[in-house]
Amino acid sequence: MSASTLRIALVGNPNCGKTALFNLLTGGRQKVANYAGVTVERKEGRFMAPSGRLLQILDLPGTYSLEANSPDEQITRDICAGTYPGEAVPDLIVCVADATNLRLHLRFVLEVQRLGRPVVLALNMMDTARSRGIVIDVSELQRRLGLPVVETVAVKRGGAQALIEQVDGEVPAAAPRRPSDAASRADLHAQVRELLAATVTMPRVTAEIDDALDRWTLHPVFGLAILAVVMFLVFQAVYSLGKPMTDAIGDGFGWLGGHVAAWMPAGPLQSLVNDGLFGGLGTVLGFLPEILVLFLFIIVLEESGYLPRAAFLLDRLMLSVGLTGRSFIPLLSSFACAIPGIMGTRSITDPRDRLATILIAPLMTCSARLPVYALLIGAFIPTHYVFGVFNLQGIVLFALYLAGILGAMLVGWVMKHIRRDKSEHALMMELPSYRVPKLRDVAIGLYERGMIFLRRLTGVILGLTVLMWFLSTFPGAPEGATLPAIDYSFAGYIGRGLQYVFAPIGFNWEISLALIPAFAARETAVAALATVYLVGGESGGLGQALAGQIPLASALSLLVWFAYAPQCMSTLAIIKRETDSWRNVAISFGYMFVMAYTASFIVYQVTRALT
Amino acid sequence: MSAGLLLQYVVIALAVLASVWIVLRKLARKTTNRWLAAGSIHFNQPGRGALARALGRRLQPIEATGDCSDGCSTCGACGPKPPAAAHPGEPMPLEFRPRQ
Repeated sequence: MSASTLRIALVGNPNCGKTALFNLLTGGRQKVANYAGVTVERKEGRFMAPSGRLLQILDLPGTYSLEANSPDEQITRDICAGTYPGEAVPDLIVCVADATNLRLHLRFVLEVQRLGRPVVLALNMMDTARSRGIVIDVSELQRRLGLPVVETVAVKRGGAQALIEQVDGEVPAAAPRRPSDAASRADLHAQVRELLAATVTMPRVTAEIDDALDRWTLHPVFGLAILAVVMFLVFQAVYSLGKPMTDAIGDGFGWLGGHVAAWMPAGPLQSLVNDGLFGGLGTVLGFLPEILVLFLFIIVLEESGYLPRAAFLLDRLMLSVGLTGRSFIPLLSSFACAIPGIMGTRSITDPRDRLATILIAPLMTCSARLPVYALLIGAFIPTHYVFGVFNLQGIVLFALYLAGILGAMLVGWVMKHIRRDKSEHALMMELPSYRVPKLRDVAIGLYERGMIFLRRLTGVILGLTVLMWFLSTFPGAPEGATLPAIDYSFAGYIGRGLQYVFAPIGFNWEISLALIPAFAARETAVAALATVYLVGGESGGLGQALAGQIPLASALSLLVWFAYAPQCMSTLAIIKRETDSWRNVAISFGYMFVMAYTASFIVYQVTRALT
Repeated sequence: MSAGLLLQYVVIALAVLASVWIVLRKLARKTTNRWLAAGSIHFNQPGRGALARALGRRLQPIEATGDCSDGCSTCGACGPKPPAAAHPGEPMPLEFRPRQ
């Protein structure tokens, strides 16, 4: 690194816009959302200042104090103090503060200043502050603090211009280092009050619109009803908006596959392209619209500031099953993928609560399960409308998500009764201002999710589909064979071996076989089933093939299996990484397998008895 | 076997080998990184030809630079623990303590 490279750390209270500022400076696309605890790791980016100086920017997890409690806060504390392993001390600390809530944020600024390092204060969200009539005397604040103060609007292009000019110049002098003890920390509050009185005029402490909305959304009865309606509508929309596009993509791929196959000479390569690539991969790709619709709603909810309210509402319920409201955000992240959810538990202070959340996070229905659900629901649940409005398929999808949540609550409750430590921890969570999501942020978020899906599709799912086609095709049927060729393939032998384990829950050998690649990536179960059925001579869509081949009891059993089934390999790897314990990996895998098998067994046997 | 059919089998063999590699990279990144490092050392030694050394450099495994916080398949960091993920002061391993 050149001598002129400046290392800058962005620090501040949670949800003050550090990551938005980081993205604006570095051109990065790190995840941002309107709630505390999105960033739980240090992130690094580079930026060339107008003078040609290279700036190395560190985005650090938000913290209310340098007296860290949770693992993410410890990272910020240690990097600022220069005690983080393998990390040099930053040359400059940019303390980001929410200009609409200086009463809370200035305390941390004063604490950082006492570290005795060069500090710049960035007053972020100045546009919102102005719109709420908040007046900040920036020059007076600068004079009283004794450090440079700049205004920023991290969500607007050019919104960090003043900060760039500031950090591109001379590094400001550091304030003298002062020890941090109980007396000096109490002194900080008095200092904040003095500063606010001298430099800030606020018509209201909170925004009027926030208070009006909170009267409804935080209401113990109406609030829960609103939450239930919001979640229900999300899943209705997944079907109503996503299904037509999914069908169109499926039809398009079928047409394209047919034309390409007709153009190729007959032989194994034609089968690979038609049955494996277009049939298997194309079926999975078809579910992209439904995944994007789900993420559209998740991103809008994240940006709006509603999610911390939902966490507040559910705190009592979560306490009753041994969790806290703080677990809500990581668990909600797990609806996208269990991996960021498990990483997000770093914001949970108590190790006991953190472990409990890690162990139940995989029960939240991740987006990789959506193609499996959508396929089976499309094949077995009729497109009826309940009360003429609600799509029955959407209701079943909602029920499956609910089954995952109820399963998680059950596991949490059992863990609460097994473990020794039963103390409860109060939830303290900052409720951010409501915000209308910006179209650009939503579009970028959707683009990122779409690209993640396509990377998986063209990477591991493609690889597994080719391998599944190979196993289903070779070796060919021997001379004089009476059964279909696929019965003599490697896949046939493996599937029939597995069927001994899965027959009691209604899985045929094709489904049993598809569970293996699903362990690497769940969507691959769809591609594997499509490939096996196409190689086996089925024509038409996979949904049709399934409806003709397996009974309703097996389909419902498979749906329930995927609601509780042991997680993918990557999730197990992240559990090992976050808990540093193979025992926890074994517990997680074991309890989910038993739970999935038991639930599927009950569903299969009961449905068979009733139909 | 006709030349056309032989060519088809060659293409299929290559596709299957590539698929095995992709899946191994996904499921056993640590192990495949070790293989790549060993291959890199083998080829990139003084006295080897320029082509072999170039291959050795190319085989050198790239350490994951990102994290998994945006979801699976976003970082390629499955398995190995990046040095930055050490949490000083945190009780590790996290343990499930049953009632006694």
